[in-house]
Amino acid sequence: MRSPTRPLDQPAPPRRRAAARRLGILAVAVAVALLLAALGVAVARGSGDTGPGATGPTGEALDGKPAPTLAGTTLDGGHFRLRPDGKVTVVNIWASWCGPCREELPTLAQVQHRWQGHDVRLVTINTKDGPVAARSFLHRLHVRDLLAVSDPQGRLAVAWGATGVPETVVVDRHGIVRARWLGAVQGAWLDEELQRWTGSRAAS
Amino acid sequence: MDRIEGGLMNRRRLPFALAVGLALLCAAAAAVLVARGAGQPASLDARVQQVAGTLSCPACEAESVAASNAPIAQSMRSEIRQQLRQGQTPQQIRSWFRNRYGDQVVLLPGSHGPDLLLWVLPVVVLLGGTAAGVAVVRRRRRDRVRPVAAVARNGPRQAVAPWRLAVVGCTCAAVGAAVPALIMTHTASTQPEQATLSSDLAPATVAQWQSLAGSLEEQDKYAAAVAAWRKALQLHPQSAAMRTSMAFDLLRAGQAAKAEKVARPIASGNGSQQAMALLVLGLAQRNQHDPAAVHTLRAFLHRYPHHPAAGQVERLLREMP
Repeated sequence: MRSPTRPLDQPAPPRRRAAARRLGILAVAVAVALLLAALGVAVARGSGDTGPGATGPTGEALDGKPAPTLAGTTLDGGHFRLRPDGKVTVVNIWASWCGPCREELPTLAQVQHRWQGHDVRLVTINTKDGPVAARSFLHRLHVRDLLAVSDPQGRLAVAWGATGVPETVVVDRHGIVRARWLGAVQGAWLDEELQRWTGSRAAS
Repeated sequence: MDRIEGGLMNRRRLPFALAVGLALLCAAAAAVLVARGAGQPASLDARVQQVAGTLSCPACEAESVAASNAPIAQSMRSEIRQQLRQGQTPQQIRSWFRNRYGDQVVLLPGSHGPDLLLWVLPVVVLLGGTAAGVAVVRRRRRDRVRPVAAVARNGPRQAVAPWRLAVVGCTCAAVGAAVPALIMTHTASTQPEQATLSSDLAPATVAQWQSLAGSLEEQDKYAAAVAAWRKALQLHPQSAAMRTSMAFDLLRAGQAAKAEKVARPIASGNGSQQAMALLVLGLAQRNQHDPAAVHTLRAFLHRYPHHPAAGQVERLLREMP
């Protein structure tokens, strides 16, 4: 089909064209490489590595915000709903299957006793637990008069931003979340927070 | 001459036909993935897992809420299930969790830093590809008007086609790779529900089996809970507490005879689980209409008058002949 004179009619493309072609291919290669790099970063992040300095999600995002709903049946068969009524509220999340809760509940009962008559209220969320197990747990610890709202599915704990049990949250007189303690709470910390948000001192 | 022209046209069309074919393939692949990733899966369970896959478990190291067996992850799944039932969208549910646990709880790519590249780059590549396509088509039109000039400028056409093909093909491939990758990060670790007792996801330690049994109990899956207790007992056969729990779950699964068999040796022992075992034994006997139930339950009340279940047992005894 091709005549032998054709190469003479059609000179080879100039060097500039060849260079442009190479540049085009290079650009595409760079784009693909960048894309792969971005994907790698995304995959690393997706697997939960949130980078340096990150401590992972905690319930601290609730600080300074209005307290979530806290309502449900209590272990003694009643019903409770938390309403801002001028009292400072300590919300504790516990379960009978949780080891540190064993040490913690007597501490909480003492704090409750110390702060009686100071506009302080202790409400606990008994999370992912059965009422029978929870009651016998309290009975064994000789903890009485503990207001405990049943949370069999754990939804109240999640609503309160818990990352585990036990956890303790302090809500001020206006119903704003103010402080949070992860793990078995220390009486001294709780006293300090209550002093700060009630503006008074506990009986020692 | 006509024949030659036809041959040239075919050669010119080939890269475009290929590019269009590639683009169509990419679009089809993307459509399938989007339909699979973003469409509403049929079951609520699957939708719960999909949302849970986009949230990071706050009590775990590098695990999504869908993949984790931690109590808090189970609770979060309950919450997701409830919110989906109430008609909340995945986006609304994610922002509910973000309000409580901060931005880090959401596993989707963000809108800053290297994540931004992930959003922008595919768009840039797509726009670049389109621009290249338009440029090629324009040049082709010009060539048709001034064939001699085109021949002079381009040389033999087949020499030009490969690099254009390469550019368009790479563009299509990059876009094709980016779209599914983006979708994959959206639905990251959308694994099937716990794969309850499957091989590689199966718990390895006694504590994990215990926790699985507990969570199955909560979902009222007593037969599965019994299976989990059996596994735990294989690793730790001495545990009277686990044996008693298994007996209780057997009872709740409607297998009173088996429950009785498991509970009896513990009930006649003197260990810490005796109260619970007596209770399970008595209830199992009662379910089988065994008159010995009255005797067993009385023995339970006599020995444990302050047990939390004592009131209920008294009521039961009053109802029994």
